[in-house]
Amino acid sequence: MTVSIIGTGQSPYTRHPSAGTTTSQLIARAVSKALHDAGLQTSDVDGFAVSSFTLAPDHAIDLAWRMGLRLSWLMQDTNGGASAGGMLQHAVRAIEAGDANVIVLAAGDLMDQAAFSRLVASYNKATEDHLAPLPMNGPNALFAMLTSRQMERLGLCREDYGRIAVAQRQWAMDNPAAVYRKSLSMDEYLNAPMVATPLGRYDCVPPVTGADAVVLVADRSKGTPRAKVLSVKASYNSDQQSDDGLATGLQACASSGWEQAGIGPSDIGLACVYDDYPAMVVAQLADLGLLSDQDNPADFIEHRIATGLLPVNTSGGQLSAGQAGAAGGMHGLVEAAAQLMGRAGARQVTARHAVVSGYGMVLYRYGACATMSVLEAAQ
Amino acid sequence: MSAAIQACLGCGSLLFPARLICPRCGQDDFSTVQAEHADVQQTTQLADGTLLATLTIPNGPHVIARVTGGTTVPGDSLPLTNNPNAGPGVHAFIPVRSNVNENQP
Repeated sequence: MTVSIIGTGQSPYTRHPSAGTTTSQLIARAVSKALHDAGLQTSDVDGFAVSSFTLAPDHAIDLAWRMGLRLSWLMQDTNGGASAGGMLQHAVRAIEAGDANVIVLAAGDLMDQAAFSRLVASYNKATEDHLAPLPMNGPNALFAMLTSRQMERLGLCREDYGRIAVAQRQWAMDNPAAVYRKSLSMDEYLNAPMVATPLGRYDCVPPVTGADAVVLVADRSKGTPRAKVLSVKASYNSDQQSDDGLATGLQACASSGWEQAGIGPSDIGLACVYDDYPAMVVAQLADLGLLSDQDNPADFIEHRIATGLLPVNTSGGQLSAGQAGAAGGMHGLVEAAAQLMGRAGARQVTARHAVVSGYGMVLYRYGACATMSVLEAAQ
Repeated sequence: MSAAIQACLGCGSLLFPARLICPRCGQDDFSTVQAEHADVQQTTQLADGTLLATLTIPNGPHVIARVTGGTTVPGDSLPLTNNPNAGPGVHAFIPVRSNVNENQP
């Protein structure tokens, strides 16, 4: 592949958006920051993609118009936590095919309590018909039961998941953009109010308002720090919701993703995996091959993740930085690209290769979409 | 007591939620059948005390239900119902619209 990310931007995440905040404003702010980071202007952009749950009544074209973009390539993605990978997959092909030269990918949402309640009550038809009337308000209960299945399958306990939450909070303390930056102890994790057994408060992502964006270009400018895209793969409906949800769609696409990238899991110095719940961090690291069949999962968490030996979700992840709706899928991509370009500030790690995963769209019992991207630091 | 489940007329697969085309055989003709019991796989209790469960219908799909009329543990077999006020006894309530299959009145 010959496409790289050369700029990233975020509209600050917040739990309490000020009155008058709009989704369009948030996304535009992230786009402006990403372009500034890339040293480009809106007049340089000829491709744009966006994902948002709360952009209506506007669409991608309205947003592009309001940002003054003149485009030869435009898309809108609706796949939530997997949208960033999906947009990246299409954008890379668009640049390679010559349909565009400079593409901005953006995602964001105004996700206050009212918007979150509307979203989870009418997420899709299955939710409207079979989950909301239970009643069930959001996916916490589904992932609580998935976590129970994983605990039984892998022999994990609450402390193991706590080590993931605590480690990510440790990273978040060095991320000024994270909404939760106060250190989190294991006692605080274990004694937090129960949300849906066995999930406590710190197992569940806090919904926030915010937006993320990246700038993609063809690999032409030597000497510019960039995150080169080595591979992008996606998997949708890999098991038709007929299994237990412990394996994500990554299991179906990881092998070809590594093959396309020309490297393997052991080459990875940074993993940004979709962390709506700690159990999904474990599931995706396993599906990607970073947590191998030979590893003891509890030991892997304690000795690789908790120690930072394998940097995982160095922004603090969504568990500490927050889940800004559809931007949750872009969050890890922004963090990985910023790290590989050496722009991660106090939490900067030394890594040449990063893997980013997306996961999302709970159709009935668990997510149906998964994406995998492998990036390489280049100059 | 029982709950409405979709059955594929092509291959007999039991499906829930209802599909438009069978993921197993590709046919789009379905009927509605009544499933009487399912086996509890996992439960979760919400902060307000609501007890939800994942159950497996024998030879059929996994379903999400609210446990009514008492409590349960994994391994139990519970009667299924589409009635949230079913009783007496412990039931697994599965909400459905008036029809399971969209092409049927």
